[in-house]
Parts: sequence; structure tokens; C-alpha cells
Amino acid sequence: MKNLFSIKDKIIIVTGASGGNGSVISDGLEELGAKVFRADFPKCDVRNPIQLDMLVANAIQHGGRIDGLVNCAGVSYVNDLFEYTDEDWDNTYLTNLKAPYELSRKVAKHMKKNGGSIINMTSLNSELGFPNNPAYVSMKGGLKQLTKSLAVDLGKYNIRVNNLGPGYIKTNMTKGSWKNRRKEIEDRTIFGRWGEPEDLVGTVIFLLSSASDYITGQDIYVDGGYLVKGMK
Amino acid sequence: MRVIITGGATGIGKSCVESLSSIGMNINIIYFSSHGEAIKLKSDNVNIHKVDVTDENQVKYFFDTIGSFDILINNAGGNISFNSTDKYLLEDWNKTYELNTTSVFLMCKYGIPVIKDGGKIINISSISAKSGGAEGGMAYASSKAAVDCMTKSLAKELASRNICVNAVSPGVVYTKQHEKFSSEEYYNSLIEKIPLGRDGKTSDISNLVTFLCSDESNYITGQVIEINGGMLMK
Repeated sequence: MKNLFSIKDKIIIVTGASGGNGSVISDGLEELGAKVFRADFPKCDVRNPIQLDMLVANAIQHGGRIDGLVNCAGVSYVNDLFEYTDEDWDNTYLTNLKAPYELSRKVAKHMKKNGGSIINMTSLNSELGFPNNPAYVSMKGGLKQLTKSLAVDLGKYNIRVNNLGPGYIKTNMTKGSWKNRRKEIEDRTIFGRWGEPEDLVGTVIFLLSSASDYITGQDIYVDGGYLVKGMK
Repeated sequence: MRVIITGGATGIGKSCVESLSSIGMNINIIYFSSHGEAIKLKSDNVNIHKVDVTDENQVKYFFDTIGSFDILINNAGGNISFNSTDKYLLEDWNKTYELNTTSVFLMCKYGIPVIKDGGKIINISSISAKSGGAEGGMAYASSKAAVDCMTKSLAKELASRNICVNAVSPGVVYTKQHEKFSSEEYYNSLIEKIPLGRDGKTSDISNLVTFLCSDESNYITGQVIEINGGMLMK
């Protein structure tokens, strides 16, 4: 692809960088010459605002600015609704919704001068209900709307904020579904296959590059057609 | 890669032609009224064809002679007139649907048998498909909403051949349509509603089209991707 899609020398923060999607995305960005600052648990706990400050300070100190942020960190606790614990609810809130909110605000302060691009990793759960995970479904729904709020507030600084919603991607987080519902999910996609983390990389690059300069506040689903398919 | 693009001589289509030919793709432009503009784009890897995309015989003949190809971009479209519904002419309604909706159907009807497996179809929709459009523009807006839906139907139908079908839905972009229908005052009032504070450039749209033409988007299908500076967030 031509220079339009270049992310060479861009300074990018990726959270959840040790996870299945986050690590492949970080590697993919580095391969194309971006400087990636990886926030990985437990070294950087995104629930802790002080550690977020340190993450941002580190990127500014070594990169001089921040061009992109990929909020990829997320947790998911599956449990029966009536057994669902406050702790799991709170942890999901802090990691999946509060952290992107806090970190986006902290990063955006540094992006005001030159603009930038923020990507929030939403989910099929931002659109649909799934069983036994009230916190995850709620926070991913909230994250979808957080993006729109940020897009409106940050547009005047040329900071773009968009959602990337992966479908079922083969990672550690989806291993339960892979084990129990592999075929059902496969059949529900239009392409008849699960996604790989590699399927997400192109869209992340596109949203970080100047090729997407006029896209903000949008949801892009990389789901092999899961949402669209609906009934067979 | 061999590309067919309708309405490729001007505006967003022209920008797509420039972007895709610059990365080595072979382009076939379909135009109807813009001969002067089309001829200027002709080059070693850009061919031009005059086809009325609302005429079944012409579309059929085009595909009978063109051979196999990789990418179809259904970009031709436009608004015929604005008017309140009680005054809207049935003739204009039908023309709008022929231009924006039937054309996509015909290009697919005759293009699908010859597009290669693993190819891409990209339909250019409009923000009005979701917003309802400008006052008096019901025909245009609803004809584009049909395109959004056709995109999803086609994505299902063609997935077994690994063909991705997506729509690109631009917001405000200054093209011939606005030149014809929008006063300066109205156009400026639209821009005031855009969080990024500017209208879209045709290159903004062609960048997204170029991404959807690439292998980097192979797991994206059946999507309508909005590109509007934040003017509308679904």
C-alpha cells in the first residue's frame, strides 16, 4: 500500500498488549515502522490511574508525542446472572470502560496540538446480548457510546475516535467458546470461519493512518459478517 | 488487479481511479454524461467505456465484452430533484431509483458471473440512507438505504465465493451534486454540524475504498462504513 497508509515513526500506545489481539496488533504496527508503547498486565494495570500517567509519561519522554492509542485491554468474567459477583462487575467496569475513558483523556491532552487517532476495541457485545456476562455486555455497550462522546469533544483538535469491533477471534479470551460452540459460531459468520488476530491488523493500521482522516465516531466490525448474517 | 468503476470520471469516482491506478491497478471507468472528463483520465492502465448503467442491454453488453475482473465499485448515482412528497413527480422518483438502486442491481446481475472468486464489491452509499436525507430528498435517501441493504444481501450470497461486499457511506463532500443543489449558505450550515469541522475531500473517500480493495480488509464483509467527519454516528 502507498504512503497514505503509512504509520512509520508514529508513536502509538497499545493497551492489553500481552493479550491475543493486542500482541499481534502491536507486532503488526512495529513491523511497519511505528514506535509502539505496550501496556501489558500486570506490569501496567490499566485500572490504576497512576500507572496510566506513567504509561503516557513514558511515551512522551521517549517518543516526544503521541499519535495513536489503541484501547485493547479487556477482561471477561462468565457467570450466572444470580451468582454474578460485585467484584467481577467492578473489575470489568474498571478495565473495559473506565480505563479507556481515563487513558483517552490523558492521551488526548498530548494530541491536541497535532491531532491523533484513538481506537476503542468494542465487540459484538456492543450490539447484541450474550448469556451469563452482564458486565461485559454492558461495558462494551458503554464503550461504543464513549467513543461517540469523545469523537464530538475532540473533533475540534483533529483527534479522531473510532470503534473497531472484532467478531469471534481465536484468542485466550474466547477459548471457552472455541471449545464449546466452535461450529455454531463458525456457521453464524458469513465466511464460515473464526477470525484470527491478524484479521484485525489492517483495520487498525487504516484507522491510525492518514488514509482515514475523515472517519470519526464510527463503528467498524471485523467479524466475517457475524452481525449482518442474522437468520440463515 | 482489474477494477470496474461506475461514475468514475468525476468527483469521488475520479478520486478512486487516481488512488487505485497509482498502486498499479488496471481500471475500467464507466461514464455516461461526462465524456470530456473521462477522456482526460484515459491512460495505459485506465480505459473508459460509455455505458448507461440503468439500461439492462447496455450493462449486459458491457460485461459480455469485458472479460473477468477482480473489483467492482458501484459509484454512479445522484439526485434528480428535491421536492415535498405531495409535489414529487413519479417520473423523478423512478429515475432516482433507476440511477442509484437499479444500476447497482444490474451491475451485479451481469458482473457477478464474471467477477473472480476472492474479489470485492464496493457500493457507494450516502449518509442520507441513515439520516433520512435533506428535506425533499426522500427519493435519494431511500434509494441509498436500499443500497445499504443490498450490500448485506449480496455479502451473504457471495461469501461462498469469498467475495467481500461492503458499502462506503460518505457525509458531506463537495461534488457535482452539491454544486447543483446546495446554496453556499446551506452548504456552510451543514459543515457547522460536523465535529471535525470540515467537509470531506473526495480523497478521504477514495482512501477508504482503497483499503476495502486491499487484502488487509479480507475479513470485513456486509458492512456499511460511514465516513462523515462525525456528522452522524449510528
